[in-house]
Amino acid sequence: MTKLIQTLIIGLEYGCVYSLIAMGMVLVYRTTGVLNIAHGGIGVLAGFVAWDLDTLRGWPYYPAIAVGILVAITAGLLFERFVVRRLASPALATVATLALFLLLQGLVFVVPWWGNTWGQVFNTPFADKKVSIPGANYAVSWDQLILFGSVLLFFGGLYFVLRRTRVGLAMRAVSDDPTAARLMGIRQKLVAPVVWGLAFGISGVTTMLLAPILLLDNTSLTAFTLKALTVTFVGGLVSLPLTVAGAMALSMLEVSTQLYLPNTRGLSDAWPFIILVVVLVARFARGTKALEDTAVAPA
Amino acid sequence: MAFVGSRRLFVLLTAGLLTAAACGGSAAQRAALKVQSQNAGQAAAPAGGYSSGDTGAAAPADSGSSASPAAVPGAASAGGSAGLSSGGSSSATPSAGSPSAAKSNTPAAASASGSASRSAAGSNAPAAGSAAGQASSAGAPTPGAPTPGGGPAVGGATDMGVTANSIKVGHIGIYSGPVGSFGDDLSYAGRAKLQEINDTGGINGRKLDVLVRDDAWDGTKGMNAARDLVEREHIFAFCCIMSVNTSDPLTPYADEHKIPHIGADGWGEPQYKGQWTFPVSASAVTEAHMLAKYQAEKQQAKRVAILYINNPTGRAYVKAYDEVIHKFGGEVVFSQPATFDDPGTTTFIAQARTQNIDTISTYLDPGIFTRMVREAAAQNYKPKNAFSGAAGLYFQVTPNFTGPNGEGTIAATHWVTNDMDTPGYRAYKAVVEKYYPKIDHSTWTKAGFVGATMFGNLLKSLGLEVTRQRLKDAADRVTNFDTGLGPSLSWSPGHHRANKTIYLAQIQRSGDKFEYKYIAGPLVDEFAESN
Repeated sequence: MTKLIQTLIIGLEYGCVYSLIAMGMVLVYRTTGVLNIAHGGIGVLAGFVAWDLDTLRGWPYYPAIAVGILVAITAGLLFERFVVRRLASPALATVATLALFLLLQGLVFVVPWWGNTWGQVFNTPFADKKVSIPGANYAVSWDQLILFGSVLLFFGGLYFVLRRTRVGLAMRAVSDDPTAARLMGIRQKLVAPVVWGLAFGISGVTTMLLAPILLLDNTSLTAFTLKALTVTFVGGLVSLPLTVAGAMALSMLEVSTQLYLPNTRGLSDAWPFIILVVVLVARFARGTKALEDTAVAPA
Repeated sequence: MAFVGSRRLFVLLTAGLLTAAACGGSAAQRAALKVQSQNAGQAAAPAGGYSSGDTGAAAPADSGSSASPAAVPGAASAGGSAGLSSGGSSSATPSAGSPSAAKSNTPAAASASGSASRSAAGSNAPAAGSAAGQASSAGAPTPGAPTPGGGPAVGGATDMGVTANSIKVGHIGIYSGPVGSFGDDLSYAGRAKLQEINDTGGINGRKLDVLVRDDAWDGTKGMNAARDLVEREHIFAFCCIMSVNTSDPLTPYADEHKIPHIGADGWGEPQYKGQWTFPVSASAVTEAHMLAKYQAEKQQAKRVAILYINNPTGRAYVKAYDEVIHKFGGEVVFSQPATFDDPGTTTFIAQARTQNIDTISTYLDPGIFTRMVREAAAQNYKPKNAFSGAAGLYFQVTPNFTGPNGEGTIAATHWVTNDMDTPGYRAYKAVVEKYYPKIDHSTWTKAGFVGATMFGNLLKSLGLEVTRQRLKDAADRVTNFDTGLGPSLSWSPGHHRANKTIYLAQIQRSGDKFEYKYIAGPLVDEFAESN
């Protein structure tokens, strides 16, 4: 019983990690048709800025992470204005995000006082605060609880914005049919910056939430992004509920494999690929609506 | 429809890309991401004597024009040798045995000389007389003496990679990849010693032309680099490669091509099976043996869990720890491979807690170790004997990262610990920091330094007729080489396990900081194989 509760708690924790990253990517794809490969890289940049201000320069925690998130939002606005807007199709913009990702990876290492570090301890005001879980022989830190709450908040917030607000409707309209959206008076040049600024800002916030738990590490956070990208395919790159469900399923499978089948080394690492293959086969076998129709229209 | 088709293709391609990236997500992904620019934080290497040519991803410091101000004073004080200029190996050098060759006039170099007796060629390493003396007694020619038995002309191009005024040396370091941020330090220490050799006259009139490559801690990349160095660059020998992932597969290759590798890291067991590979450091198996013995005897460890990097060396560590702890009535209750992008550290700690583990041992880098320690703290858990680990933990960054949660952690190292501050350590430090002042002194910085020192001394002992076979033969006769850093090393044919010595250091509070402090050693591995 103890092991079962541990499995659920740890699975939930890492499911939240995958979900949080994946939701930011779904937001961009759902509203622009661009697969934002730079999602993790932007977050790492924001994280290093915040870490620099807080740890190296002694800024208070909250202003430091606020500046980090602002840097991410600004990067999103600049990227939309000078790159995405000039490209003819979402596919090209996707390639551009790959280039941005590589650029950011290099940038983090170019700064000399960041470059020789690789797994920085990211401060948190909730250090050493934890809650014991009765019956599980387990404790959960406040940072992990905040992560869980944030996932709920992001999920509800994004769902609400995309479904219930004029901005959200405009975002979806522009992505579904730009021409019709223009005829309806929706100005794409105003909507696109909101999407990219929001998406990059979410990436920054994500890093601020994950780094106290996982350390601020350029490459491991990016690797989590790649895993998260796998689960976005569960939701056809557009469905938030299915994406979160996929993230939770992946995490539970990994954790239960490690705890219940410790001798099947390698199976835990294989789950993302197994899921990816199953999802792709299933979707292509039935001509998925999500990937073909409800995603985005061509630019 | 065409668009739908292209989107399908796009999605498939993306999925394929992600799968490939995630499949290699552990080492390869990191390797691709942590790039050469990590060296930016280090003082640039002095340029002289190091080839600035086609060095691939080698440290930019190799470029002659990029010598930083930090590098200049030390190099300049070395007598303004040709080593300061790019491609300096072709510059005029003092002749072998001349006073100028034998004399070192820099403070650091003088310090490094210590009380060692000088060979005719001007060896200036700590206790260099040991190796040089042994080689001489075994019949090695006096520098500059005629070659016994004729053979190639004395001096000049005596073997592949050797010219009248240079010896081409291959060195592969970790300048990027998962441990690239501190892996470069491992390389710099050996290179500092090689540079110092050049700055103090070279090897009997020849300068070392060191070609540097990056393996990103990836054996495949490392072997590609090795083949390039051997088959295209035609190097004479390898020196002081401190990357186990390259040194292991390089061993049979070196045997096949009969190329000496002096001063290998020795962390992996395959290196002890080679005839042309001469490791200087101890193996991970020896670390596991000594840690298990110490923790069983001194801490009464009975129930152990091990988290390890899933590679051959990591698995060997687990097996070796298990074998020894069993001899003392304990057991490794479970072990788990570690990755950096899954819940592994969390589930490991949860299991350890559930199974009433009293000791956690690790074969990890400082990053994953720190995450594990912090996870344990988050779960309000610390085993009775806290944590221990292989030499991969013996970096100053480890206590910096773990803070109070890591207090009590025991790490193995193969040389005197930094806080012992022995004369040999001070001499080593002076040389290394002359060229690389920001270095994090670890097990393998010392190993690299020792390897480069032995390489230089062995070359000097060969006189002018420098051949691969003679270098191997001389290395196989080394007896009780005093490293100045703890163990004395000996090699003989078929027996290249020179270092079976372990020191243990523990993370302890020192004021408001946490540092490694010496707690035990030298401990000699009585369980080690004899090869």
